[in-house]
Amino acid sequence: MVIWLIGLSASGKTTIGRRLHGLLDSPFGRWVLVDGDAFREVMGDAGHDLEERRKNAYRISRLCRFLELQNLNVVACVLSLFPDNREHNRGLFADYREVYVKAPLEKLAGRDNKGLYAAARSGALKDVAGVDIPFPEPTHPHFVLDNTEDTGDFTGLALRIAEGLGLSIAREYGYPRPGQSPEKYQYTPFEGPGFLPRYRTQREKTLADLESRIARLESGLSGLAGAHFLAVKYALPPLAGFFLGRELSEEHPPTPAPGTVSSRGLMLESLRGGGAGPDAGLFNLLKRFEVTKKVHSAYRVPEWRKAADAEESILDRILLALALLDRMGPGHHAARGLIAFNAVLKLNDLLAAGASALATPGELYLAKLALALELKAFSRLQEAWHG
Amino acid sequence: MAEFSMILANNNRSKAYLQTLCAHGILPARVLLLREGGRRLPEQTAHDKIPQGRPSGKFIRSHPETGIAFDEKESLESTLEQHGIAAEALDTLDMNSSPVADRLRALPGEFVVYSGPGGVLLKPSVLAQGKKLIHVHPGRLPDFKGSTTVYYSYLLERRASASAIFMEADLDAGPVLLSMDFDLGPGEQDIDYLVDPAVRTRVLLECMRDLDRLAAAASPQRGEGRTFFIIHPVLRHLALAQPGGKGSEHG
Repeated sequence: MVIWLIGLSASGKTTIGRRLHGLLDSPFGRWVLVDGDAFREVMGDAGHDLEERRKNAYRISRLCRFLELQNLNVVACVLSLFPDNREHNRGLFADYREVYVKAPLEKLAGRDNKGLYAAARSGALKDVAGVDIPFPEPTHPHFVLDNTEDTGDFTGLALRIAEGLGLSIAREYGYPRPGQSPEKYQYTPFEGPGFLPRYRTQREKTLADLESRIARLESGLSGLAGAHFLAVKYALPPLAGFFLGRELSEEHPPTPAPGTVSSRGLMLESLRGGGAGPDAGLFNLLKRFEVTKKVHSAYRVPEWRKAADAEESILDRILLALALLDRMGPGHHAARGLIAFNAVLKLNDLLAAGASALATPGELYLAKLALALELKAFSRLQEAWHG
Repeated sequence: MAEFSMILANNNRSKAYLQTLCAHGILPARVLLLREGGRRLPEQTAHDKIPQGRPSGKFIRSHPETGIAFDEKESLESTLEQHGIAAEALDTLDMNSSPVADRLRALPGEFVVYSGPGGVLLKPSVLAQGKKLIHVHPGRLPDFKGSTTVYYSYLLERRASASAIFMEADLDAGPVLLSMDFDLGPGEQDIDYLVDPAVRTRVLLECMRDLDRLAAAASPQRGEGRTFFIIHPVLRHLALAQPGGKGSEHG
């Protein structure tokens, strides 16, 4: 597909085109951004009079066709002065979508990102489209985006184009982003109303994967039995109790060294109490996780620094998520609950990103629980928010 | 009014602070600009390209609930130049670096308004420079300490708040000069780049209008309060998905 974004200078076509490209490009469909100004700079030989502009317009069309033939989709941000070139595109591309990014000339002159309109009006510059070069508006674009208001919400505008063209945003929910530190949650771009459904779908996919792995495990090991309070608490099959009892060393909890606390002991105690009782220790673990994105097996107190021989395990991260989920909802302070849920989302992001590395039965059972309970808590929160 | 200086990084908050104070005739005696080569801070917009020239055109951001409006395209340098304010740029974003500490000591006035990178814990070497650093935190204190609190107070109370404090060694822990709450209107909310700078700017303006009295009456925070951490994108999208808002699945 080739999306041809047409607009005069300062209409916002390039900024919106960049956001649109960011929203559409995914491993499931590759998109390339072709910016008319950047292309002109790369080629270095195109002038600004009408004939040169025409030549350049047809060159951009040929480049986009070249990309389309390699199964690459294109967002092209072009001034596109020539109706004949637009018609040519309709026949050239297998799937052509024309979008007009529209704003009144006086508005564009007010923005004047490149100073073109001021220079043209003072006579210092010639061949400026919309001033001394006529700009025939597209007569039958597939979508017209009115960008008169300076909302600054370019992602929102890009989403309106995607919606107007009937395109689904293929981008999947996934945090932390590949190659991005898990600390970098701040100022993540707003991804529109589709973001929360995508989050839910992604979590459900991870859950389904865990369920099928658990089913395979149970069919291969039926007959084993055991008991563990977590299995009872969450109505897990007896098999889960057997593994959890063994993996969590409930009968033989590790004895913390003097001046340290055992994270697992603290979390199991909190889980055993069903979210009742003091939560200061648990929230200190939360704070350490928020700062370091790690849950270590033991911390030096009272400063809450990692103990010298402390290790990190995925099971402890899952247990922290479960213990924090117990601290939400009725009977708990709303702000505390929100702080807890915020950390749960981050813990479970790491869990979902590394789900293929979950190795033991205990990890599988508890990971499934942590994700399923997070989704339930999210539904309650969403319902409360929408009142 | 007491003489004061400012320390500003190039972002919407600093632009809103400087433009608003200048518009009300409250001019800093001197400004330190913090930048680090071409490094772009997460809160910087596409209009904050460094080095900053004088871009043509305007991009007015307006927030009716606080009565604050500023031009996102107007660089700090051009505002400073328009008002004849003395300024110096430092090639660092680190408030705790020795060049900042040295310049801080020499800034005119007892008070310095801080609008640098967020989440900074000041070292004793900076706090010992004999200045009172004023920071406006986007939340009521001590109930909303920490990061991205504007989202949390919106989710929990459907309003935005800000508190002007004197900075101390602990994060968001200093004495409070002034706190204000604002109900957020329905519809689209650009929380990061408009609501957050606007609520903080309104509080700063009111604080600077009556600085001598407020500084003398600044009171320690009552209780430890509650610390929030960077909001997760899911909660952020939930906040923006208010009925009728831009992220609404229903509106």
